[in-house]
Amino acid sequence: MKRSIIYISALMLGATAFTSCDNDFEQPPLAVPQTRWEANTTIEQLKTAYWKTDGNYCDEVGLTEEGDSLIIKGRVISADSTGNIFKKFVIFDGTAAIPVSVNQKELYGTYHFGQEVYINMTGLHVGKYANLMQIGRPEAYNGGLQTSFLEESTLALHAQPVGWACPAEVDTLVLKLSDLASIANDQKKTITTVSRLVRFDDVYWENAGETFSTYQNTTNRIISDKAGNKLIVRNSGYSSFYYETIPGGYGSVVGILGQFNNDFQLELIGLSGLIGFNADAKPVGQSEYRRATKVESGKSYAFVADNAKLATPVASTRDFGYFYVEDVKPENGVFTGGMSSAFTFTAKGDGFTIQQPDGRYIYMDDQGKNNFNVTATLGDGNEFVWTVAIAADGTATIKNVARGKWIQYSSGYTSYGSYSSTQDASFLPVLFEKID
Amino acid sequence: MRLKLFLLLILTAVLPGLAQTASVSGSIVNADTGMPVKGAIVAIKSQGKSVTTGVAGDFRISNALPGNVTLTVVAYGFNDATVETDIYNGQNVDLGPIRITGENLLDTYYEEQQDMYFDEAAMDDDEGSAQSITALTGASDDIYYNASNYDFSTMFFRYRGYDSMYQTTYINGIAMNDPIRGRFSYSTLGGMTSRAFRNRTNTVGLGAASYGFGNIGGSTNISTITSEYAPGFNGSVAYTNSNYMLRGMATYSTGINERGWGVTLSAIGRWADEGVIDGTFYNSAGFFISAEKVFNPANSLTLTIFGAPTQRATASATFQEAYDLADDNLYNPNWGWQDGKKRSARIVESFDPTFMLNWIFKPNSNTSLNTGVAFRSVNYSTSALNWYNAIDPKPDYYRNLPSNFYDDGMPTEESEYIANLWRTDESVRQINWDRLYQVNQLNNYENSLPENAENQKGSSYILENRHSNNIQLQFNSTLNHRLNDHITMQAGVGLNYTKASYYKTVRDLLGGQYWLDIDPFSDREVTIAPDLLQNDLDNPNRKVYKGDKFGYNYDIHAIKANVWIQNMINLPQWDINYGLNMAYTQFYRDGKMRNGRAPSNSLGHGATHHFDDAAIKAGATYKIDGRNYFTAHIEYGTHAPLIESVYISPRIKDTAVDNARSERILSGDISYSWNYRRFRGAITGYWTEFYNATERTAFYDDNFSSFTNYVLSNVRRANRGVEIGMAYKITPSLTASLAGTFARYQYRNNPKGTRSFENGMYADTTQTIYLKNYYVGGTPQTAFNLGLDWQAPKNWFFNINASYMCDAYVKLSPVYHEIQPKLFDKYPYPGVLPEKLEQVTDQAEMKDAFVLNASIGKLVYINRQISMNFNLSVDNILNNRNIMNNAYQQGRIDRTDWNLNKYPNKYTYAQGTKVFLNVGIRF
Repeated sequence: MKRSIIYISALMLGATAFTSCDNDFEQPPLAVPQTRWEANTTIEQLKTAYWKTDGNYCDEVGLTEEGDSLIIKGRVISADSTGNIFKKFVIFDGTAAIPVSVNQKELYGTYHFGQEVYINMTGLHVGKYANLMQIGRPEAYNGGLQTSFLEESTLALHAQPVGWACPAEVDTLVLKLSDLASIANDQKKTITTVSRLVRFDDVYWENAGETFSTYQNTTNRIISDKAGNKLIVRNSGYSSFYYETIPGGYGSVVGILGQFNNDFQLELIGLSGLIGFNADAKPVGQSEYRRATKVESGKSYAFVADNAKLATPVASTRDFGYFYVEDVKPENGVFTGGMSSAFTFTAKGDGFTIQQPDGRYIYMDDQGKNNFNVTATLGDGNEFVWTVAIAADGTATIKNVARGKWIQYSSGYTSYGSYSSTQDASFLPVLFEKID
Repeated sequence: MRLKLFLLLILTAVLPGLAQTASVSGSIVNADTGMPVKGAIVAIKSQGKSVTTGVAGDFRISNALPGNVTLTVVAYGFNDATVETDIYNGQNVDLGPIRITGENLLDTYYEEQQDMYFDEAAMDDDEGSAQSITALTGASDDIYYNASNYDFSTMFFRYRGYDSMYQTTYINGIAMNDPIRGRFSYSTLGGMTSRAFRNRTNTVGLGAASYGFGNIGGSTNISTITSEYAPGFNGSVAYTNSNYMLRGMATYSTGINERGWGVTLSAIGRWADEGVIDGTFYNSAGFFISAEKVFNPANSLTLTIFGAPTQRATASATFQEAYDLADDNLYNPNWGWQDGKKRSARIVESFDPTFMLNWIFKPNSNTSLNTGVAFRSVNYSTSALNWYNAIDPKPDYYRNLPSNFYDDGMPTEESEYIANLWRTDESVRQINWDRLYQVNQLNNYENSLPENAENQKGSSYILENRHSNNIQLQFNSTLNHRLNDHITMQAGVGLNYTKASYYKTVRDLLGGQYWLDIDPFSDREVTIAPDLLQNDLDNPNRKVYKGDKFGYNYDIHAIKANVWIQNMINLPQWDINYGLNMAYTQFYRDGKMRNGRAPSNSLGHGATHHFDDAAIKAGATYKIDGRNYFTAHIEYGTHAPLIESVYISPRIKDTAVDNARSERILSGDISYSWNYRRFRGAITGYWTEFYNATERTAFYDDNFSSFTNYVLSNVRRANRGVEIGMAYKITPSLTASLAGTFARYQYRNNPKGTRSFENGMYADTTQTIYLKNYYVGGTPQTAFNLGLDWQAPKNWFFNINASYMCDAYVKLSPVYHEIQPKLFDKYPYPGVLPEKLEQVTDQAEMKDAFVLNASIGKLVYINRQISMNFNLSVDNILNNRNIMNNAYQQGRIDRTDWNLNKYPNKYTYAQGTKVFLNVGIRF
């Protein structure tokens, strides 16, 4: 019996030993795509070599000087996931960026944002469409050629996405709107900057409050900085965010910098390209105007006649004129308007000086006209001083001390002037204080 | 001595017997079953001579002193027996068969329950891989083997993790495994296993058998030789709540009369209007005739005829979501109400009549030659719904389930609405026959409109029958020869010619006018060449009607031949056996239709494939003393690949797996066993390596709108484990037993997979499948059973046992284990992809199961002639309804969103409490 126990234990030990080594389940390899290609040309070199300035064209790319296939590689810096960017993807290799136009949807699933792509350019074409250089296919146009979409199958033979997608490795170029003018005149800067992913800080949307785009149309929206430099942002009505509201306030905008003939434009990848804007903020440059019962020095006021006609200042190119009007619809004594309606009143002598939004002073000269004169320099005379008297019904009589004429809106002339007597079919303005 | 023995072994075939002094011989048989008892000790105590009976129960004591001697026969599980006889010098006295009675009444009890354990409902899903059922067995003194076949069968436990093609079932020495599918189909026996087919000899695992070379998973020989049946009448009526409800069986055996004639007749009926699973019915009848003419003691001829026409409705595996919604783990999606009656769409009809003629030739007590011929006609068909240009009618089609309406994995209002319908409205979760008829009737109406004269429509829905029939002609001859007291020789030759036919017929047009015989593309608008759609280019766009063959039609002609030879040596301290088998397999496909997807490769006589195989096996038992034994076995051989695994898409084309080769198997086991009066048992460790195996799965992939075949080749697997079985007699009538196994059945490499689309939309693809170290699914790898048997006075017997089974894993689908470039496309990030890949390739574990069973039996002797037996057994007393007995991954995978819940696994569950009440009479 003892021996039996020894035998039993020996067998059991041996048996459990060889059944217990399980090993882990083996998994298939990760299928991270690889390539044997090696890049021998930079995108900047490619663009420079095939750069032409006279209109559209589409040229075939040949071999390198050594007789090899010309191979570029770049990291994908755009995505068509929202549909705003459509049938193209952009690659950047540190020297320059170039879009690839291809008749394929959901490119982001094949050429992933942040993934490197190798492209064998030999046999493909590079050219321009509306002055934007891109990789595409030649298409007949107006007796010449323009660059259009590659076939999906053609691209698949020439392009190899390689390696992991590393969105963190995507380079965003920080630019100022004011830099754009200098880029346009410089070929090298154009080649190395256009099509890159760029970021503009401290800008505001002029179309804040509107939607990004309208159904199935492509619309232009404007971003602007404090200095007044502007850039077109082109949004597709087929994108997934076209119906969203453009936020107010200041922030940063990130997108692909493009060109359309002589204009620069920006294409958003998606709403993630808007950073720091405040959805609740009023659109920049818009203020609330409230019906005023008195005038205080240093504040700005808008002139509204007949509760509908808003005075706009004399144009910057002229130094005299009438105030033409814009329609406005105050509700409960309040309306939202831009800066261009705000006239600043500053106390002087018995009354106030009135400045246009561009800072020029309004006065009346001695020529006996009923229009306004504007000048940047403030004079000493009473022709620069206006008195204000607001009646019980809210209308204001703003009288020029020197000439004794007061501001009225003439519906016959559809403009504001300054008259010595009450005109037919005229209205006194109501002042609306600009609330900052 | 050893050298002499070795030389003796080499010359085995021609050596004559060497008896010169008195000798006595005979064979020891089980009085109850008539089966030989091997390993019994026959001794002439007064002379100190003893021998052990061989596998055929035969013994011979030579070199004995003449005179009056008493032979004592001792065998475990039997009462000791003594026989007195006179023996003479220079002669051999042949005592013939010596019957010894079993002391274990539980044999009877186990016999009665045979049928309960072989759940036919679990077979033949079109999808998934081949189902496996454990081997048939009678009571064996191998405690672990009994447990693994009876107690673990609830979870479809497979002995040593082997598919059932690795266990061979013979009838009268003729191998009955299906040559195309490799496995033995129990339905052939018609449920008569406890009476007509009760004379069984089992060989466990790698052991040596007297009736055939056997198989690595063991083998069973059923003997239907009339003279082996105990004469008399046996009748029984049973009630159960399983696939069938009532069973009636009657068997009558005349024994052999003075003129040498004898006949055994048996008939059985099994019936259920509705089984334990809703929507299933069972109608089966069986007959059995065994008639023998004994010409003289040396020659007898037995004719055996049996068959069991059966018609039954089955369930099929479905999703856990469906089970949960129906709140029933036995939910069956395959039926629906029609005209107030439950109508099933999955009806299996089978009838395999077999005719067998065996000539037993025994020229002397040392030699027995069993030569037999058999003719079998296997008829098997399953019905299923088919549809064209219509919505999938299966209620559990994934698009009909609430989860299809989830948003990002979360329920929505729409999904909740549908879930509620599922829970409350039976017509939603079962087949809506009325709608199918309505759609067809609408087609008929449209056909009648004059503007549609040129534009006729057939049925959108039909019920079709998928037939797999075969005709087999078999020849077998097995020789058993005793060379001397210690050495016996077995040899045999077998031949099997099979013609298998596969085709579909229209079972019911469901009210429509005809069915168009083209490959139905569902849902998809695909513009393809019309030729591709044709199933039969020579009869394009054929309209078929009820009973017509359509869809596919091909035959497989196969010839299998084998020859084997074996020696068994019984020495006082050693038992040794070794043997060799050589086999030849040849087959070809004969297509009857020129399929549009393979126009040059489908019609006519295809390529002939042939395989030469050989296997050697050896075993040795070292008897440490009379009670402790060490046994070791080893087998190495090649097996031809299963014919059904060689063809990639046999319904369409003749193409075979590239480089189809025989698989190689190396298997070994060692065990230690002990046998004391009160305590006996065995511990075994085994290791089997499969090289170059082939496996196939098939499934419908609606990503490609096609039935898809996936064949894995060059598969390497390792099955290894420890088995333990022991029994302790607490008192002479109370025995406690413990049996169990701890094992691992794993893939050992990354095989090659070939995927083929039956709709021909895409070319076949071949890729590496990464399966290394994954578990072979569908069977528990760890299982233990603890039982208590009490043979109470007055012929009562009681048994209670409990099983715990775990470590079962889901059967994998190769599609989840390919390289997945589309997974990279969705998650191309280094921090994310590896985790996602792990989720995709994870192999889910099946639920553990605990089952408690008990049974009571009583034997009543009315008088010396008549006895009655009563058996009541209750399985799964605790009504555990969470026993998952089959689980497989679907072949579809969501490669767009990688939502792993879109195509979940499919499961079947075992029933709750199962009752079996049997009343039998014997006289």
